[in-house]
Amino acid sequence: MLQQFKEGRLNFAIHNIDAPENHLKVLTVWRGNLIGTSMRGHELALKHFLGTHHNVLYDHEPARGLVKEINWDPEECPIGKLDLLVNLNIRMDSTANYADVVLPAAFWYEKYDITFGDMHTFVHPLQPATDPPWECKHDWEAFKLIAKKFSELAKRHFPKPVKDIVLKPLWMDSPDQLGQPLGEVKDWKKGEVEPIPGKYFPHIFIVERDYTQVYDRLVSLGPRIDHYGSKGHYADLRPIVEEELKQNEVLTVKNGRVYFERAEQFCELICQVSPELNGRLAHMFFKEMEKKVGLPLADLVEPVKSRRVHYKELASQPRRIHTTPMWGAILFDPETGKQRPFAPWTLNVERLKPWHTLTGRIEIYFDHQAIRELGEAIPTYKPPLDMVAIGDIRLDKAEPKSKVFRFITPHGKWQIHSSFRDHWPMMHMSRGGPTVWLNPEDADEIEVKDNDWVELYCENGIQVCRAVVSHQVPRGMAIVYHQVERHVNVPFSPLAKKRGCTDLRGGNNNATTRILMNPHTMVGGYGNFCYDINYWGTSPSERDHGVLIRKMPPASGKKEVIYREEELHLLPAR
Amino acid sequence: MRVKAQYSMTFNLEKCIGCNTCTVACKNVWTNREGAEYMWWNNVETKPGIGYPKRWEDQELWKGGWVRQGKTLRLRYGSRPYMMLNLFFNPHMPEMADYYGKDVYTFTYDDLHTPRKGNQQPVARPKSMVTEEEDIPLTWGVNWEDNAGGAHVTGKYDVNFRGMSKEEHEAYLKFRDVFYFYLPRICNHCINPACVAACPSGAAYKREEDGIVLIDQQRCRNWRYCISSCPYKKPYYNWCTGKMEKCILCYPRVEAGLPPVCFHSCVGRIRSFGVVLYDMDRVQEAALADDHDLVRAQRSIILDPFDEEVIRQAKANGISDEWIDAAQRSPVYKLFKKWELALPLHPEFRTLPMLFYIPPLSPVITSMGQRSPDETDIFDMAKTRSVLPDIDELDKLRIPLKYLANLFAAGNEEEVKKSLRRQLAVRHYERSLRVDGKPNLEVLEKVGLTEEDARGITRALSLSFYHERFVIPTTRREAADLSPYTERGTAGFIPLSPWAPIKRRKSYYKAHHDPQKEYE
Repeated sequence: MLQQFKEGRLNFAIHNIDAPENHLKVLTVWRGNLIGTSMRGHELALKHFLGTHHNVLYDHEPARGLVKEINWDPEECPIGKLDLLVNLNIRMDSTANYADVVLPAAFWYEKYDITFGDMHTFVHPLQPATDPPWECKHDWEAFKLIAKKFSELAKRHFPKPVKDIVLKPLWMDSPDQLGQPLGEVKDWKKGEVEPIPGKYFPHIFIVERDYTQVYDRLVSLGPRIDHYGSKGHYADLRPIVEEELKQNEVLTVKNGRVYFERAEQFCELICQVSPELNGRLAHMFFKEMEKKVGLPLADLVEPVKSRRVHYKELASQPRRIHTTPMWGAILFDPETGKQRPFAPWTLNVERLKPWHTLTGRIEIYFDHQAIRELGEAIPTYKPPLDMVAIGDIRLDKAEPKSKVFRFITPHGKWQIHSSFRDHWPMMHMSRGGPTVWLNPEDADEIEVKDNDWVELYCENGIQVCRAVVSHQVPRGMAIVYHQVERHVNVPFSPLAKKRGCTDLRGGNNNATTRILMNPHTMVGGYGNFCYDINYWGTSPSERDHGVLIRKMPPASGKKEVIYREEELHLLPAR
Repeated sequence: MRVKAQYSMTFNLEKCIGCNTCTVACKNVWTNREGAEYMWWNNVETKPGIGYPKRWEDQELWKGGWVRQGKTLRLRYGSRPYMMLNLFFNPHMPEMADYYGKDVYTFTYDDLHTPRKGNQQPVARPKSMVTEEEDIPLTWGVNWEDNAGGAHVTGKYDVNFRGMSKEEHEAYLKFRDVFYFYLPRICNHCINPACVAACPSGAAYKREEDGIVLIDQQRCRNWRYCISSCPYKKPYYNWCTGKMEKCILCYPRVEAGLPPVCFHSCVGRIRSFGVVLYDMDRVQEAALADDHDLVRAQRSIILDPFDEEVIRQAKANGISDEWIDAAQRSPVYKLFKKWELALPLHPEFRTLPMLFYIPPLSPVITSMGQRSPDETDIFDMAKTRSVLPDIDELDKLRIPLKYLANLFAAGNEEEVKKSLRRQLAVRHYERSLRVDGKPNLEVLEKVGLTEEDARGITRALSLSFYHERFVIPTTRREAADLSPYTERGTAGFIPLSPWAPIKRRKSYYKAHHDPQKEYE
């Protein structure tokens, strides 16, 4: 394979990004409002990813001529790449609105589940107060049903195991961290280095997939439990399985394996295989860590070595987690015998466990070549991106009495992203629908008064909302608290009509943004700059954009704004 | 001396983050009914601003509260004959426009769930909850000015800038000198409630035993003088039942020793709840004090629950040992009376409100311009001075003293200064303990606090647990009119003998209570 890569016969999908075989085809969204919340560049995604109505305004691709190593067609970007969107959802949010299939999901008070956050030390059990209504299913049930059907169909379509190639990036908390010494950027493609997996190239794995076994694999533990863990901490789980799980009154043993087909069984399993609630496991992980860092640490959990917190106990009264290497906090003081609140890094500060950096200390200077070249080596002020220069804002296409604003979308006060906001009492907090915060002097310049309807637009799309003019906003700033859904109090946009957009509604607060990859987050193979899910990886900056804003022209007739499709003739096209 | 016990409250504005969890908790428990949609027994306003309903503080406009007339008080609304003349057209009353502009709103959520043919994405459109008119504009609401939204305009009508020059007033409504803070509001359960005095039907009343102000839903004839006369605009008219409603201080909870839901749900733990004893004989004197003396006068009628004479008299007036004990442990007594940190909201309305606010400290002014940079970089660590402003540097705080004084002390800046200086002094003291390792007693002495006081204040304002913040004695069962014993089975239906429960009650009361009384 490496040879083929070197000769250019094999290549990564990104290099041929427009090819249909390289598109994501099926997407299942669970516990998230991907379309309504997470989609930076919402309108662009509606157009190219979902292939539906949108109000993107680009008339040509600004990156034309700038992209060197990727095969793409700037004239005809693919539209509607995704074939099927499946959504497990508790409510009719934007994702459900745009999905092909919505699987109604049980709400928090209708199912067994277990959650935990990193701000305090308590574990939350969830239990059904009522059964899920109508056809709603616990997520676990939904996945089980899909898996069962899938396994059944696989007997016909994949009767035998099939082999698959999986590439794994240079991984956090593994020897890969030393892959690229001195942080020098070397490209195997240009022949500067050899494509050695785990050093200058991803690891290559050949895995065997037995699709007929998908259901059983979902609802049972194993078989690879001798190397169990995450974040660089691994232990052999077999003694716990044999001595504890197989004796556990809640779990089932079938064919020599531990099964957990019911949701409450799964919750119990999570408790028992979490070092936070199983003291023996925490002790095992600390013993492993002692070998790595050369310091005594397992004494921290000596007093809780025999502690097991069961799911039933969580339901009966609040229970805290104990110290584990997975969290940087010491939660128990062996000297006083008292529990301590969550305070991050106490393990590193008090017990000298090194930080996961190259120096083992907290770093504020990063000497990686790419980071230095991008001016990110030390935490200093960087001006915002010039959105006019990079083509998101076209001043030549600006409507009269528009002004360029810096655009940010901080967390809102009345919602957790898009959740819990749409109910009417919550909509009485602040102004009852999407708003943008502007400074009074800026508002004067574009002849906008408090509570006037405005259009925020750039090439990426159009958002329609009302202005909250306030003297607490600094000049030049447009603030839209995220996340507003596209489906409460969003009228039609005269600008969208003027420009002939396929969707005439204003978009949400990601209508005017797009994904801007921060290149320094692409660094890998260098100490703490190594990939791990949700820790380090290429991430978009969605909070530092720019928009044009203008006062929205009023509708004709008595109405100020138009919400209904049958009244679209009253919407001015200007 | 006639001793009365009263539930009272403090809100620490220093810690209010304006999240409105209190508001939503109250809404979900009490006012999400038809007719009550626009009622917010608890709301949180951003100051400066004009609030909910619009300009409620402006009594030139609304004629609420009391005014002095010689040696007595009269309702600002006007004389009894004037009230009677206006019985069928009350000119001083907020209307829907003052609460919600066009109308109190919901959205056409059904549009999202009912498939309809079309090319455009569906949306839920704004809709009136009273008339069901659709696509209405939203122009005001309970939290319209959140985080100073639109306050550069509405702030011009904020009466708390009273006494400032026009230039000064306008400067505070610009970015450079911007300040804002939150003001959570519920019914103040005043000692001298104007709503009770104004009610022509005798429906509004103040409970003898604990001072909770209520409106009897049977007696209310919706003349709505309570809403006109309440200077805080906290009674609301229910258009569905045709009765007035207001904050009931969650009395079903309080009677059982639990705090009201807005207190319980407060995430910032800014709220305290407790009993204070006051001298009924001196209420009129306190309500008649000169403006600058109102806070002191109100404090003076609050009695020391440790004083032997007060305890003796309290018992003589029928206050139980449990209530006296609760008054001694009351966080409100400490914060309002003992340490003088908390202040009543608009004491010049002369209703003797029993909800007290701890005025907020604020960031120091750091804007450049007329003031020199040297003067403003107070957080420059290289300088030897403390990171805290000095207790005599209150003029450097962003929130002007005059504004707070107009809000909480009828314009008397000294009362606000005392509170802010003490709050700052306690910070200096705590910092000296932690950073210098020795207590700064000098700063405490300057503000007249002992070390014990300082530690108590730290505990009360930042560390206190649930049972310290809420010291609530339960209702005296023996004072209740009904006995649970006789109520057994009365909720059930006995088909063959529907009158049996009543008969049983009758026989019980005949035997155990007033022999003259046929029914309870």
